[in-house]
Amino acid sequence: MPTLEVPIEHEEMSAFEAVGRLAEPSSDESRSRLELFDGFIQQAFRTSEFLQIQSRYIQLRGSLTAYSTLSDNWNSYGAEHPSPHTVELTLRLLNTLRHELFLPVRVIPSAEGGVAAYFKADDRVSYLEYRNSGEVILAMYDQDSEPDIRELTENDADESRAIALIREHIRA
Amino acid sequence: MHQDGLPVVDTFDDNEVLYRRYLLAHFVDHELVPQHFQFPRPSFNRSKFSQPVDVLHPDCCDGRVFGSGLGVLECLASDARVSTLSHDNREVALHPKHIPLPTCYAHSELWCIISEDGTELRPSSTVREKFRIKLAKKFSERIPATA
Repeated sequence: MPTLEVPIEHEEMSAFEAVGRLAEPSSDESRSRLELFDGFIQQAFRTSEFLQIQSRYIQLRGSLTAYSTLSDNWNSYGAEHPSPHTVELTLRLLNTLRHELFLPVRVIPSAEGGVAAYFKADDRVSYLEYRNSGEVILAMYDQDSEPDIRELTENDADESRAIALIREHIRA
Repeated sequence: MHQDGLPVVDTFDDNEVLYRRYLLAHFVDHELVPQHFQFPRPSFNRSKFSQPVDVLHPDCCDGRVFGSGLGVLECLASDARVSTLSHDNREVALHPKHIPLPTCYAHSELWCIISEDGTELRPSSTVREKFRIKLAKKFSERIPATA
């Protein structure tokens, strides 16, 4: 797991120095120290893939929670709501991917009934869709070529296989 | 527009447009995602007998009134005729069919057919997925959805 590194410029006060000086601040000093720490945090967020992944993970979990409350016909064309099982499977996938620092850009409710984890980099797209019917569909494609479709199962081995294929396709 | 005894019109002009409702959740980076479509026979309104906004009208939504959040997609009927190969190497394609409803004369569907003889086919999971992907690439926003 990567470490969280906060670069410290020589001209700036280090975080440790700033903490040491927090003991008896005036209001101006406290504001400037807060701004300093805010700057550290924002810089860390910008430069840390780990923090960005954590933030996206929280967003994706929030989306999944929202999809678990959908009713039937949520898309106005008669789609079934995603079953709790497909939401659980997608959450399991997200938990695995979070530890690999490789998350989808979105999770998406499917009109076929279910949830898809959707990956995209430039024009390369891949998704793993868990269906209420028990089908598991892996798709990989770009703008021009014929889509590569694999029908998988819900087991751990197929999840690992799907992750490897998605990573290879997206990062090619 | 209600059907009111009007006939089915089988032919679709190449410049005719198909319309369909969509949700913002089905757009990523300004592109429609395949998760938008379901098979068999996804529904559309055809432009020969409707305006884009009609697809949001209760008459074309089983009487339901939808609030904000829905937009309208469009695609040329000729572009929607995407094709692929089935597992036994036959060419299968999507074909627009006019299926009027009593309160929505413009209602149409895309049927999966065997190109050679026009017989309708229930597509396999793989073929269905290829169609979803190919269709998603063809549709664009006509009326943007709101959050």
